[in-house]
Amino acid sequence: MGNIVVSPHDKEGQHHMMATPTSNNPNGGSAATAKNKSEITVLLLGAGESGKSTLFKQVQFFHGVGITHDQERIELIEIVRLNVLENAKNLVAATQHLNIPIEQPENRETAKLIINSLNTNDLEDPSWSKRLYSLWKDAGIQKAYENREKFQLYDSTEYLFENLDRICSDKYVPTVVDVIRTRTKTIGITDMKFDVGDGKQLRLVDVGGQRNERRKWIHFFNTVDAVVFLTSLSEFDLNLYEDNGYWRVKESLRVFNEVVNNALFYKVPFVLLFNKRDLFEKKIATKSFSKYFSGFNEAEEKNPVACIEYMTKLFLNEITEHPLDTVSVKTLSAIDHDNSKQVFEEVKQFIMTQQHRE
Amino acid sequence: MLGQEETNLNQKETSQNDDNAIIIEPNDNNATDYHPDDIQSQIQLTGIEGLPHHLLSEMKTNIGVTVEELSRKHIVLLIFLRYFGCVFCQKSVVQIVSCLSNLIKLNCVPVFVHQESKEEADEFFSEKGMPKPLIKLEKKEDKEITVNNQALTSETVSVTFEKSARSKLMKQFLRVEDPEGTYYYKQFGVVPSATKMVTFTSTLDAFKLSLTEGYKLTPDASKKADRDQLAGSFIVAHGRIVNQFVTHSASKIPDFLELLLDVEGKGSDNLFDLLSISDDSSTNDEESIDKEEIVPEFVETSQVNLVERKNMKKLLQNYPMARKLASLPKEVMKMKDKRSFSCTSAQIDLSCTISLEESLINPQYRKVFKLFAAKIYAIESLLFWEHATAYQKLKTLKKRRQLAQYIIDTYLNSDSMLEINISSAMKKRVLSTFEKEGAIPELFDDVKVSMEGDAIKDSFLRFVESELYDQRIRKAK
Repeated sequence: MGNIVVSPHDKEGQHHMMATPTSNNPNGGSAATAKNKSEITVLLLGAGESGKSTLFKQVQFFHGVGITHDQERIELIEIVRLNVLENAKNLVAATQHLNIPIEQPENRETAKLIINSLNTNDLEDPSWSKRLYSLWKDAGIQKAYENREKFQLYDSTEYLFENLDRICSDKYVPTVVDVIRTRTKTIGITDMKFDVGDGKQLRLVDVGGQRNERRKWIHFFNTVDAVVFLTSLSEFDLNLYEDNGYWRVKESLRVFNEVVNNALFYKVPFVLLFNKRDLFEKKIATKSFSKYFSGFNEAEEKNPVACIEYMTKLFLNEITEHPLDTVSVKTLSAIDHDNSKQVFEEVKQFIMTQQHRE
Repeated sequence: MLGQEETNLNQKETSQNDDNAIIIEPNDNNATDYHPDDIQSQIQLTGIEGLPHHLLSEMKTNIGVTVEELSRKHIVLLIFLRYFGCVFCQKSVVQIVSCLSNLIKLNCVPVFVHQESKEEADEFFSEKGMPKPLIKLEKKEDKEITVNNQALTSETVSVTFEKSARSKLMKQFLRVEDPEGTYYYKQFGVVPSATKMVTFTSTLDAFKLSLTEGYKLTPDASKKADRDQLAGSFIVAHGRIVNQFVTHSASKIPDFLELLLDVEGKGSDNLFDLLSISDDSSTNDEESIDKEEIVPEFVETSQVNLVERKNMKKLLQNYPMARKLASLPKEVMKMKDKRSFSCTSAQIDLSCTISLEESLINPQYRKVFKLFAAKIYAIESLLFWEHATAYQKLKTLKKRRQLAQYIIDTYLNSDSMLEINISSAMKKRVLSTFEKEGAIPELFDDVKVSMEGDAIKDSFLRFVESELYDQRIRKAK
């Protein structure tokens, strides 16, 4: 694990609490810790499914945190397969909901099994690879998939179905990309630390994004040196997971407004990351962007740069309190390793420079 | 084997921690599962049995209600402070503040016992007496509150304890004045330090604390207070003391959550079990509870005047759990999983790991998992899981209906601080099923399965990577 601490809570730390600040302890830490100047705390914030944990996982990976324990590996296999099943279930449910019949009789059989009895252990059997793939390619399922903005579906669906031959095998071992691509809903808080030179450590904090999770955020606001706010570019046609009648963009703007104008963050560097650029570019090729934004020029809607520029304005307009010279805006594709690495490096530099200025 | 290892752990961590053990129902035959032929447990048993349970009804808090009365509705965390000038005493308060939101979620009210007079206590529990680390935070928060009143929060300390900064919070802490300075201390076995001056290491620790974390070493401590007095903490539920932490070292402050969840303990499954110890005359109708505010015997107590009842009610409003607890069927609280795991069990493979399923089903593992979840702010998933599991086992429709309503109010209501993270589609499905088909046994099955697959799974994945897991489970195996 090298120099990185990934444990959210250090039991043994209790004993040393008298000697060292308990920055390792998200619970007692916030109140009991005298601020340690050599540690820079960076919060990853944003609404649900904006990619906070994906970026967090990327940072872990390029700082050398791999899958170390066998147990972790076993859990990850389970999580990948749970993702496959969840996606399959959601698609099948959507065909019913949207009144799109699954065309092939054998796929209908598969669909029944998925809804009723299939579990992750079954997926060790390679025959499921073919059956699930055949279901995925069914015209009915594909039609539902084209209409995926009408229901909740993970971004990773296509990727997972295209990799079924690996996943449905008793020899399956999740790759780094698999882990990055799978969706796990983050609950509560998690953090990691790594050295950034000059004897300084960066503590990166990842949190859950849904409404109930955001109530917990205030607990971590006390000792913050920088905020990285993520929002998903590709959410313009989607509604919330936790409130299916509510437009995701509206929620993101609202949360951004609350965070960026929070007095606790006046003086800290603030980064706004427009994530899922890859998905976004694919999406606007087939979907209308201007349909969702009355103020946007329809003629420009296939031009990603113009769309992103528009979104940027929309978000920056929300800033009423935070000094604009300490706000930085970037785009990101968090599932892309190289892009994440580059963007995170820029973010780090920006934060360090701002820190220096202070 | 698990039992043995635990004892070792105890000894390694703190020689005093052994008293930490807990008693549950004396008629619980299962108790031997947890510490086979452990003589010490016998001693511990008399240890807690021998505590002055009767004193609880005379220990009056500053809002007029007694500790005993409080413990009928809440779990009381009774903390005997050293003396106000002491950095460790201040640190205890800071610790409580930082885990307060978790305490509230677990329906636990902290109550401080102090040697000093009421006036001195009022001064300490105010802006003036506030420990330095809290003052620092306060300054930051003040700004936030003026600008950003309604933003983001609804769960936090400041909101649950009436939206306020930490100095207001300080004032609201309940406390009990010891009539003779150290009378209660002595009765509870919280003794002065044996070596006349508090030990050298503690003094050193105190200096470190004041230097690194900004605690103040106050020379002008109260004359009334004995400076050699040590601290102690007790958990009180339904008029009985059920767990304790006493120490012979001034600098030792327990992990209050650990004490509360009884991680060291040998049987109590969870807090709802603790509540079951009582002879609580529970009412079925939630409305009537709200009207009566507290259990009947409390209302009958003649000394309790209107103001005090109002105080109690006000406190209750901050604890959504407590309001509804009495409406639950008794078996729910008593319920305990008799399945117990050990290394010899066939279900466990040779590697030192446990599955998510085990960590949920085995009460001992689940306690550790809960402690971890509380620390990463994810406890609500596990509390829901426990209640949903209890629900599945209920036999009668009437009881299911009560618990279903409780679960919905506590975990599905978006105003609840214990709201779980599920999709609105799933939430709607449960609510409409409840409306159309009533409290069917399968009502929460889908939510539970889905939670096991994502929310709880996410916590578990981090749990197996944690030090806590290493210490308490991997090493214990």
